[in-house]
Amino acid sequence: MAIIISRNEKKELINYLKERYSLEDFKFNFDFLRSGKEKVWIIPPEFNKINLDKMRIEFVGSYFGSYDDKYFRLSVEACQLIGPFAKKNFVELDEENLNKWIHGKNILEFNSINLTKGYVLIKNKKDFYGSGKFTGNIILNMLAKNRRIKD
Amino acid sequence: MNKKNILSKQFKDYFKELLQKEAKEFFEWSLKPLNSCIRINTLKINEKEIIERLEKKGWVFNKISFVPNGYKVIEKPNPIGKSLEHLLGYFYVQESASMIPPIVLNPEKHSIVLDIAAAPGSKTTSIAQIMKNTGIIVANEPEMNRLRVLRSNIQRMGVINTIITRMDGRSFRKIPQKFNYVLLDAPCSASGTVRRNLHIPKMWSLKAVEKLSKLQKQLILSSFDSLEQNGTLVYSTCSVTVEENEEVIDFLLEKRGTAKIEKINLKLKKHEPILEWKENEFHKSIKNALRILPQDNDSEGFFVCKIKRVE
Ligand SMILES: C[S@@+](CC[C@H](N)C(=O)[O-])C[C@H]1O[C@@H](n2cnc3c(N)ncnc32)[C@H](O)[C@@H]1O
Repeated sequence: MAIIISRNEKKELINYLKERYSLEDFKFNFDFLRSGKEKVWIIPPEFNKINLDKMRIEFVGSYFGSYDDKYFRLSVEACQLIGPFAKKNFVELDEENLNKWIHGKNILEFNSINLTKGYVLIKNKKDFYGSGKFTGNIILNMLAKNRRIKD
Repeated sequence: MNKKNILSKQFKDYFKELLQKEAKEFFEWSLKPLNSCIRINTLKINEKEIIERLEKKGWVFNKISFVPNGYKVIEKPNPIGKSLEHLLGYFYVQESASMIPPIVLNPEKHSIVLDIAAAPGSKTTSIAQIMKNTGIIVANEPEMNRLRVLRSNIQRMGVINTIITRMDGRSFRKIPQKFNYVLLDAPCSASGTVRRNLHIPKMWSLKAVEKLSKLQKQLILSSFDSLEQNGTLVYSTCSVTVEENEEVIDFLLEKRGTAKIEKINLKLKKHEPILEWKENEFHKSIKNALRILPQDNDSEGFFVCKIKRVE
């Protein structure tokens, strides 16, 4: 069952993300839907314009991310949306590490200044490749299989 | 595969009768290799920027003249699916003729659109791009496996404005919501796509075409009845048989007096639609549809028709 998240939950999630990535200028002008306890979607902004009666709905909007204990893991698309506004908790990968990342491997060597435990955005030049879990030592790669490059 | 044996007798006989003098050229072009094409995803990236970036990496493109954001790939350094830019959702691999229906539909921003046979989502994602992620697109697909691919393409392209439904397209006429625009990119015998899939002629049969034609007729009625007044329907297939195209449009015009065909203004080479076929005479306004054979623009074969619901 999917539900539109409450105003309080939305506020909490937005505040968490704003704080974690220091997003001063990013505008969260969309609502969220949650299915189960973890997964969160962005709802089409004009969702209320349509009468859903008799439609068999499978999915709505764009996958935004999921709660992971006290953290929140952003999808590739969510990272691409907010990434350009983030001022902390992102990692710039060099070509070698980027190659590891897109093949689904964990990142072992990187500049961890300004990183705190939790999910960090993976960046190369202007591009964002999703988020990985920074444990304090390494960045765990949880990229979905269909978002990796296969050899 | 020995190219000589690819075109089955049934396939050849049908198109010899339909295309007469031009059949030979159609067969030749149906067996020519086809370059990949890509559509730049302007929801995520600036067109000029991404093209320059890919060119620096060794890609060579020809801009497709009849659609925006479309490029024919002349050379590429490695397989498209392995490129970072594809992974990032900066472009979508799509045949040039398949880029036409969304351009013809041309939905305004903030409209409510139904893409009634949507998987794998080439046209849904293109429509979202035209609407700049505003409004709503109901993207429907009855088959679960295909629906999953639709979903992942919608996600990768950064499309937010969709609702994915899993229904038989024929049941949309019964739902209360009416749409400003409907695209029916119908299931078809794919007779225009031999260049991409050389197995098509082997599987192709007149019996299958007739069965599909019946389904297409039911789907076009459902699509048309899902339109609000003044709404626009685009019907398309990647087949070039008469039964799946002109005959389907003629059936709609017969059944619905408020359906009117509109002219499509695109600068590209095309063939005259068929107005007489096997003792049947079709409505004259069908001449305004777009019938494209592979040899016209070095693409796949396609049929596109734009219909308005007038009151
Ligand atoms: C030509 S493909 C659509 C391609 C898609 N529009 C695109 O551009 O990526 C036709 C689709 O219609 C679906 N289909 C088959 N029967 C259907 C029905 N009764 N109602 C709706 N869709 C149907 C097929 O599963 C298939 O995915």
